[in-house]
Formats: sequence, C-alpha cells, structure tokens
Amino acid sequence: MASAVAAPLERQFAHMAGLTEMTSASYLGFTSITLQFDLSRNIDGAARDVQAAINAARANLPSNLPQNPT
Amino acid sequence: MLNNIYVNSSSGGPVPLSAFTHFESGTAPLAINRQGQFPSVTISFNLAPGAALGEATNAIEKVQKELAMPLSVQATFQGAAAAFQASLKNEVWLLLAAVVAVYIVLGVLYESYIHPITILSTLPSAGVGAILALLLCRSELGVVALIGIILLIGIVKKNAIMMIDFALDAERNEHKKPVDAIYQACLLRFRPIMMTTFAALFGGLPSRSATGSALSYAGHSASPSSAVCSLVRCSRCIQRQSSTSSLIDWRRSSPARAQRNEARMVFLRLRRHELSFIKGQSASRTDSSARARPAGEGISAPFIRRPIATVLLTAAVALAGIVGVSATADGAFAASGFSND
Repeated sequence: MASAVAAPLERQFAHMAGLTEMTSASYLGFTSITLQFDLSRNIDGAARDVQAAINAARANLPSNLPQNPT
Repeated sequence: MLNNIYVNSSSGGPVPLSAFTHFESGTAPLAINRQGQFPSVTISFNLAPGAALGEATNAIEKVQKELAMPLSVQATFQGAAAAFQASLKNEVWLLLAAVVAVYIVLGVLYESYIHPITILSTLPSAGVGAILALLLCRSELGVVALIGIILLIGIVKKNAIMMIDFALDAERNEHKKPVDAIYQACLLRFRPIMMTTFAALFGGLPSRSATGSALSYAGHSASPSSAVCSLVRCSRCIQRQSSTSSLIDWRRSSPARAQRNEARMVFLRLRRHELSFIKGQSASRTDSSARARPAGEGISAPFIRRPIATVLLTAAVALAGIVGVSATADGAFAASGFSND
C-alpha cells in the first residue's frame, strides 16, 4: 500500500501550494493521508487542488483499486 | 492450512489454492507511517501543569543531541511545538520591523535623523525595566506579558514624543537653549505624563488581583511596567540632553523626583546609552538643537575626542549616581547623581 498507493499520491500532493505538513499511514489494504495547509490557504481552493492531484495521480495508481481515492 | 482451501473454478470443479498461488511466511510491516514522503516515527507529548513549552522543547532537543542519531535521521517538531518555534523565529524580526517603522515615521514627523533615535533610545531601558519587574513578580514572559510590554513601549514612546515635541517648539519659536527647552517641556508635560502613567497603573490593578486567568498575567506585566515607565522618563531627560551635548543640568530637568530611587537601578545602563548617543551626535550634526546652541558643540567636541576620559567620566558619573555624590571632571563638564538634591 505504501509504495503502490500512498507514494504516487504523495508525490502529487507535494506540489500543492500552501502545504505545511503531509503525513500518511499505510496498513494492509488501507492508506490514509493527512494534509495540513497554511492558515492563509482557502479551504475550498485547497480541496480543489487535492482533487486535481488525485486525478493526476490516478494513472500511476494500481488499475485494480476497488474505489477511487476520496 | 492454506493447502486445504479450495476455490471454485470457472468450469465448476473445486481447485486447491496451492495450484495457482504460492505462499511463504515472512515479516512485513503492519503499518507504514510517513511524513512528507519519508518514513517517520512520531512521538507525542503533553505538558505537565505549569510546565512551559519552551522548557519541554529544550529538554527534547538536549536528549536528541545525546542520542547522536545518524545523519540520515532527522527530527522536527510538529503541531503546537512547531508553531511555537516558528513564532520564536518571527518575533525578533517583528520587533525589529516595528522599531524601523517607528523610526521612519518619527523621522518624517521631526524631519530629523537624530530625534527619532532620542525617542527610540528609551526602549531598551523600558524593556529592561519590564523584564526586571517580571523577574520580581516571578511571572513568565508569556504572550500576555509581551502584550503588557508592548503597552509599556507605547506609553513610554508617547511620553517621549510629548516632551520632545514641546522642547523642539520652545527651541524653534522661543529660541531657548536645548537644556532650558527640555527642562521647560519636562515641567509642562509632567502632569499629562503622570496622568497616563497612573491611568495605566491603576487600570492594570484589577486584572492583577484576578487569579487563574490570562488577564492576571497581563496585570502582572502591565502594572509594574507602567511604574517603570516613569523611571524611563528620567532617562529620556538625560538622553534628550545628551543629544544637545550638554549634561550639566540634566538632574534638574527630571521633574519626577519621587521616581529617582527606581531610576538608580538602571542608571548604569542609561549612562551607556548616553555615551553611545553622544558619539552618534558627533557623526551627524543635523540636529537643530546643535545648531541652536554652538556653545553646546564647544562642550561636546573635546569630550568626544577623549574616549578614555569619556569612559572614565561615565564610570565616575555612574558611580556618583549610585552612591549619590557629585562627580566633577573635565572642566566644562559636571554631573550629579540622582539622589543628591
């Protein structure tokens, strides 16, 4: 999970503006990524960025994911 | 056990799992935690009641040094501790930027490079007084205490502006000597300065008696601070007069005689400011007061040319201030301690 799912997502998230902290925890069949943004960053804009990063990372994720990252 | 598991094939018959898979036992991580794409271990901590975050981070950094971890392992603070460290980094620059901004605004106001320094030179002694007061009260220099210090700085600067404004006016319009001008300004502005000082002092008293709230800290720092600012007023008289290159009558110009005992406490420090200020004055003679009083230059010129004598004289004057006796030296120059009149 850490290398196949978390890593491609994290590589995309790392490009986002205003990101102050990114932590991830990967377990068997489950990955959770927590992103923390600068206080001056608008939460809606940040959410759009995150969605765009997920879409960009989709090509590098395993093709047999049961569901898209949310 | 996995050998006994059968799954249904597409043709219908059961097929053993081992026919199309292979398995072995080994170790694998149960969970992988990462921080910014790097594997990480997070250690959380909570503060005991009464413990300061600064002490905790210092203790952690000490332990981290003792561990001597390999260079590939990096440790950083996260969350509140990280915010605390970031705020420490910013605070110095914030204060510096504030001082620079005040200098620019005052410089525009007085159309002078020197007078803003005269006013700003009261700041170090004000800060020292506030920190001494905090030490006496055994209070911490927390955020609320910092607010109290900012309040103190505002009051102190306002007092300086009030007096120097009057002194400059007297110099320009009534063509008074700088010493007389500041003396007159001290007398004229004594009442409003006392009013604001005591208003701030008594305003801080109620919150001082409060317990357990952040407000009580504000009172702790603000009320001693405002007491200290009256002390700073004395120093301002000195500094203003040193800017006019004459120290002879500075003790007269301090109207707040009741505050002199306090003032003696930081007298040495004030002297040092005075000295550095005289040197600054010699570099730029744009000060209107210096123009207004050529005689003052006559006093300051030999004074500056003898640095050793200046140091000795300053030490002598400081000593005189402490023991309360007069010290006379260098012919044209005489000074007295705070308490000898």
